[in-house]
Amino acid sequence: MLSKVTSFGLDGIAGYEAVLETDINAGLPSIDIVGLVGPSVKESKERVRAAIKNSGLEYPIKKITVNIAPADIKKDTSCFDLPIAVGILTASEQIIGRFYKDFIIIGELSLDGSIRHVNGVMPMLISALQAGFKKFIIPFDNANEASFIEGLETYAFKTLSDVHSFLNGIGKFSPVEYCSYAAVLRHVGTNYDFADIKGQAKAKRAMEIAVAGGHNILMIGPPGAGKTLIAKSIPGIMPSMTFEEAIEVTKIHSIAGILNSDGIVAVRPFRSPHHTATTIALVGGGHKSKPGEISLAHNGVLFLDEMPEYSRHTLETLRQPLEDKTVTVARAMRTVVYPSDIMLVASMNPCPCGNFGSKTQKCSCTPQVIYRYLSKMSGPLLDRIDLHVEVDGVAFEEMYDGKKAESSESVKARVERVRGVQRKRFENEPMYTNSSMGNPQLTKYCKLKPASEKLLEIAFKKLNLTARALTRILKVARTIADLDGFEDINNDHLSEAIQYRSLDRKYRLV
Amino acid sequence: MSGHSKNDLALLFFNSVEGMSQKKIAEMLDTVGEPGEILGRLGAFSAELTDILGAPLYNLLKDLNNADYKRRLLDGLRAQNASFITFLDGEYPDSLREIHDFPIILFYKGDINLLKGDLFSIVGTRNLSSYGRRVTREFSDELSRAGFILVSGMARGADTVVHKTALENGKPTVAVWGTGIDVVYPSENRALAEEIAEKGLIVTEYRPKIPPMNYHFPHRNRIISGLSHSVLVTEAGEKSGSLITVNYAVDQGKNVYIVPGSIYSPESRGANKFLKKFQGAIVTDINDILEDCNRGEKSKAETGIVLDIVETLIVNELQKGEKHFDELLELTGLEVNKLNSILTSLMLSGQIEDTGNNYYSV
Repeated sequence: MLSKVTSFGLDGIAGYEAVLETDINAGLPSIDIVGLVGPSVKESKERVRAAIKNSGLEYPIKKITVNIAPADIKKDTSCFDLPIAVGILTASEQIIGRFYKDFIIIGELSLDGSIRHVNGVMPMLISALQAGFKKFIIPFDNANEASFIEGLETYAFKTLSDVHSFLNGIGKFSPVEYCSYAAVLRHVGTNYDFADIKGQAKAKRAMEIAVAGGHNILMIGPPGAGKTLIAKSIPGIMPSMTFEEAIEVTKIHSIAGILNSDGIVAVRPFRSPHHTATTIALVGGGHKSKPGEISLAHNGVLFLDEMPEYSRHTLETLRQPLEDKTVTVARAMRTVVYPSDIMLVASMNPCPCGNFGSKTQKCSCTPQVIYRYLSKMSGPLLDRIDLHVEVDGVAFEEMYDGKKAESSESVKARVERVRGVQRKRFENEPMYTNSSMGNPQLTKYCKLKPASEKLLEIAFKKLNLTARALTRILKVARTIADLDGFEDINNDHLSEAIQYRSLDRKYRLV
Repeated sequence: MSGHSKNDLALLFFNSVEGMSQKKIAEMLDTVGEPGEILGRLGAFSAELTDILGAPLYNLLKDLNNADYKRRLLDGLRAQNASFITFLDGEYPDSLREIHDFPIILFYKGDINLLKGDLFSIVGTRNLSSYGRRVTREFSDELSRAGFILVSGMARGADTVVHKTALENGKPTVAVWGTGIDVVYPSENRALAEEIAEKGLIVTEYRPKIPPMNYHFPHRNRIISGLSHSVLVTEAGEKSGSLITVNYAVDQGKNVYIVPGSIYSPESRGANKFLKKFQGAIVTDINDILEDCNRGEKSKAETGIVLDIVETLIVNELQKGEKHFDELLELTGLEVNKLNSILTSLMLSGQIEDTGNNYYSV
């Protein structure tokens, strides 16, 4: 007998409809799965057989053929276990009726008949919804992901025998309840609060500016100065994600299999890959075209600790995604475009030993070594980093005793306001933040008064700034003016922006 | 180079031969006679010369003693735009002739007459701290303005700062090398070397094409101190070569000035240690040197910049010593953004300096 079960597979970030035809006929007992299937699907016959038997059902001792259409897409996933099992059960008339035809069925089986979590359920559900499907059967462990999507009728099951009962109309099962994003948002919080960071007033201010204007930022400081702690607190001052943003992030995290138990990513991601990370780990790829760290950090922060320690090639591959805010992973089998709208936060030591410029420690690096270390960061990459700030060890701990610094919450409020100002400014422009301004926008929105032009000119000469630094200063000054609620950039804003170009100023070796 | 005497050319020849050392040349001159005379009659002095030089070297001398070789020596220098003087020349500075083991020949590029000027050596460590950099800059600036011609070794770090500061002030400067006149070391100073050759003077005792060897540099330090009447050390770690210069200067009876450093800074350990020995050498103010050299006090330049109350407060505080950004924040009670912009304007008007790691000083 022949049966037809509908399921969904993933191609990159989008899902596709997969139809599983199961045919059971007389012949030597065997099972064949066809339709350009990879090892994960081929192995599923063992899981399916054991799961059916261990669920107290009957595994037909006949010739079974399963075809998964479309046959031209490579399938290498375990999420077809459950639909294959259901196909066999319907073809062998253990599931009766046409009820099962209403459902998209997704799930991996365990040998004992329980249904296991699969990756990428959220993007599959969203694609299926767009394709007009409304009813789903998914693993119980994926229920949270489904609960945030409105307009679905999703049933989540723990075992194959439950699915068997449900499809036969036995027992009472209720669909996954819809849960609003706002409800999740209310109870999320970050572990790192600005209030807990002692001192570092300058660095914190720089972070606020960077987040407010969407600028990338570089922290320079000796080991143990607190660069990582500051970086980790950044998501806490970023504006809350809208539902659409959260869904974008959740889709990627779901594919990568790193989704939290909430079922949705409501806190902006903070990714800090180790500096031994390969190019593929960072930008994505591999034979399954998996998303890389830069996509996992989408709508959040990508933190590159000890940036000059990354391989030069790896760093250079970040340039295009930083510019385009998407990354195209092209492999022989398929091309996938992942979003990568990130805030880049980098940190570095002033020199390989970390003591260059220190008041108390001796720097053991020769000028050439320092030069080589700094030159790991190519000009084009530094071009995409607007602020440099020096972070040093907390030298005056007693000074901060008993004083509570400003909390992330109130910084965040300012950031949200400034983001609003920018949205309004760039209403008719293809950008959202000051950092994305090109030359036309710079002349339009960063007009300087004669006095300020004079200041910039003096600074240019006195502090040996590069021409490159100049546009960075303008953009940052624009954000500072926005933070202070000014229409025009004035000397104060410009002067402050100049403070955040330390790499241009100080690390000139004589 | 037509101006060279027969003796000069003979010394250039002797010096150019591989295996000839300063010591051997000196011994030859002492026992045999004038260099021109020896070269003219190499055969006649064969017994004495073989005695001093050994047979192989003597034979080499005889082989090379031809017009072609000598012409190539001079052409080589001319191609480099370089020339030479010997201790027999009138241009050879007396101050140098007085020192022990003075160089018999000096190759040079630039204006040799600078050696007759008011030469002042400033030396220091190659690994400057921000403090050392500042001291070197300020003292070089003041001393070159006061009319001294600054002498240094064009090494990385302090030496480079000295030369650059002098040139920035539009003053000539003298670099004493430890390599051949056509070998720039360190190579990143190529542009600086060209500028010094153009506006100042480069001298070396090493013949052309001699690469940098680590024992050259301590040895050439005797020339740095020998050329000048005073030596200033701005910053020196425990093993800094500038301390060798100080030792030479003391032996040669020159004025020695040493700027003390922080007792915690490893980069100041050498200078501080020497200060214990030569307590009179301590310099804490540019006027210490200027008065010593009868240059009068540095005139306090009128800045003409009017500071407001907060700026004055900051500058006054920084005059007591460098302060961290957070300390200034606490002190002034300002917001971070305001303090940032005030610090920038003070930096731009040259009132204060950013010394790294969020520290500021006047």
